[in-house]
Amino acid sequence: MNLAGLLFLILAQFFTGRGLLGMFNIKLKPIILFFVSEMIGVVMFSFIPMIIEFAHVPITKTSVLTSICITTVLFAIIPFKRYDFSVLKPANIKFTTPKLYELLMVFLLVFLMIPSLWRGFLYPAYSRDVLSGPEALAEYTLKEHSLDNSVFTVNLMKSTPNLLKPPFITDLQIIYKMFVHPFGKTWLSIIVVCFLVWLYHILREKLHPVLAGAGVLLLLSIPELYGYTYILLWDYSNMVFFFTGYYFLMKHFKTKQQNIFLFSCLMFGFATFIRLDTLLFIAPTGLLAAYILWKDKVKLSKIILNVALLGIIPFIFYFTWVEVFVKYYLPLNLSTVSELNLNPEHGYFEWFKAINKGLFFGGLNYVLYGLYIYIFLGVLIAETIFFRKQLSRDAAIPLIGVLIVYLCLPAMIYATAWFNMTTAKRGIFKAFPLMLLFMSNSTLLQRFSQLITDYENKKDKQKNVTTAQVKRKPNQTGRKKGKKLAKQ
Amino acid sequence: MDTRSLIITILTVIAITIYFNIPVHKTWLNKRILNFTTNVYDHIGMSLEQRREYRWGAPYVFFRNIKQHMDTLDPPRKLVLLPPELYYKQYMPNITLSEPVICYYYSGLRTTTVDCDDVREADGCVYVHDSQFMYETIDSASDMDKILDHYKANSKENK
Repeated sequence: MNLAGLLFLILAQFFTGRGLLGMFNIKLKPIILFFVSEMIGVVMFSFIPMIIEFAHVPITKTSVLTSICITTVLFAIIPFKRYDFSVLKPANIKFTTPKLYELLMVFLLVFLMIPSLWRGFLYPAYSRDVLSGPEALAEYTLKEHSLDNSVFTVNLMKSTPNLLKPPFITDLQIIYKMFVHPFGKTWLSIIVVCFLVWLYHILREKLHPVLAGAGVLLLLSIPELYGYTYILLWDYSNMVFFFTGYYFLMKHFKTKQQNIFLFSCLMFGFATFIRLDTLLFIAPTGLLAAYILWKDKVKLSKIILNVALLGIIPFIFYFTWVEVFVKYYLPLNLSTVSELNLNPEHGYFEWFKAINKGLFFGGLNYVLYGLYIYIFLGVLIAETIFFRKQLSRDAAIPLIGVLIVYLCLPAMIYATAWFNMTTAKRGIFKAFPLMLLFMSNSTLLQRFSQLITDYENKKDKQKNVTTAQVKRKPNQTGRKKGKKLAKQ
Repeated sequence: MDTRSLIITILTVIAITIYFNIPVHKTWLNKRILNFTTNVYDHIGMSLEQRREYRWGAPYVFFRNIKQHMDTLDPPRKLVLLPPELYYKQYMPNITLSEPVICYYYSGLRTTTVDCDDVREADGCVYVHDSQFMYETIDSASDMDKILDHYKANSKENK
């Protein structure tokens, strides 16, 4: 492994992602800013080889390195004035000693991640979908310096759809094979780690550290999902950016800041660039956005504009790849539009039934996802029975997001003739972090969290009272007051 | 360290223990996490090529060897005809020969199958002999007919 190359990419990705966040004026806590910037930097770099190809420049180490440097410098400089350097002052750096249970949780999560990182590093890409598409293209791009390479001259009767998928994996594999390791793949581990750290932070904002850690543990230990933290495929990254889109959409609903809304649209765009069928899930999200903005008495013209942007921005990513790159830059003279399957053998309701039976409520559900879906359903049922009147918007939006994924999943049959239970099995991933976001905002878990916090803080109150008693000379009245406080 | 934090820590440990004793999570933990150390030391010293062999298994080794063999032939051979599944699966049920693009990725070997348009352009073929894949050159149309008949006659559906 080329550690210098990895360090260079980590820094470059951070500055690029940080620059994009700065351009949209997104403010995050310093440490979290690093992880979110890194995650976004990775997906931004996935455009570089495609743009080089657009410019008809050979994809070589020099051209890629130059492009990375230009991108990094541009994105670091443009929003430079918006950077808040005061966070770097030693006086502003606060460090709180973590509690034992926090250390335990962090230790456990790191322990669980080690095999994933190791497998990600040690073994080459494995899945058939990647080997017959992005991985082959990336390997021959390194040899022939073009995305339009000899892979397209091979008999492609059974492989065409994988070669025509957006170049998210192909491009990142090219960059990481060039600069880090002959197997590439390290970028996936970067996305996974950054996402989990950010997710912990999101949960931590609402919940006690033990519950936040437990939430991340629940997600990380979903057997099927864990596999895709080191098996190279589109779905984990797609899940991450679909969730990011939702998270910032929720932020927009709270703040009504247009920059956050645009950033959310861009994140949905990135998710679409990773998997084109994400558009299916974004369309109903537009309806959700329209409804919430209408409820908030936002002007109709602005609602229409925002819903249009939410559709148009991700669609640009779809259009650029499908209608421009595949049509005019790839040699097959094919279009992924031909992949649409408007008259499938089994329709929406048959697939809906099959997915419910096979993945959500039976079949392989338990083996693939462990108890995760059942825990979510348990919280949902408890919330519906006991706290339905207190359901906050922060809980309702991710819940609707889950519903959108649940209802739209079978509709993927119309997007591709290659849709099957395996596609659905991984398509469900998009709902998982949203389920967690719902649970973290549910009254049930927030009360439980408060209960733990109160229990923990009781001691401090007692301690404070005792300390105060020791400091001053105790008298009868003071003792009585102290006892009263202690009882409270 | 105050007592209440310690109690929360202990309860957390108990909760985690219970969670990882639920059969599905226990299996996952044993299969994906705890078995990690059993072969990690063997794998550290593996070369890139050994790791490819380990991960991609028999098809990778098979295609790489054929390619190496083909490179020694004169005149050079360009396209290999692979047998249909119904033919080779009955001899080697655990092996799946990869599709052409994956063969090309593995080794640079161009392959085709009997249901493809370019089948008659193949100048080499693979067949099974004594439960082993063998490579044979195809030099004429009659050679091609012979191998296609052989596949057909020995396919599972015709047996």
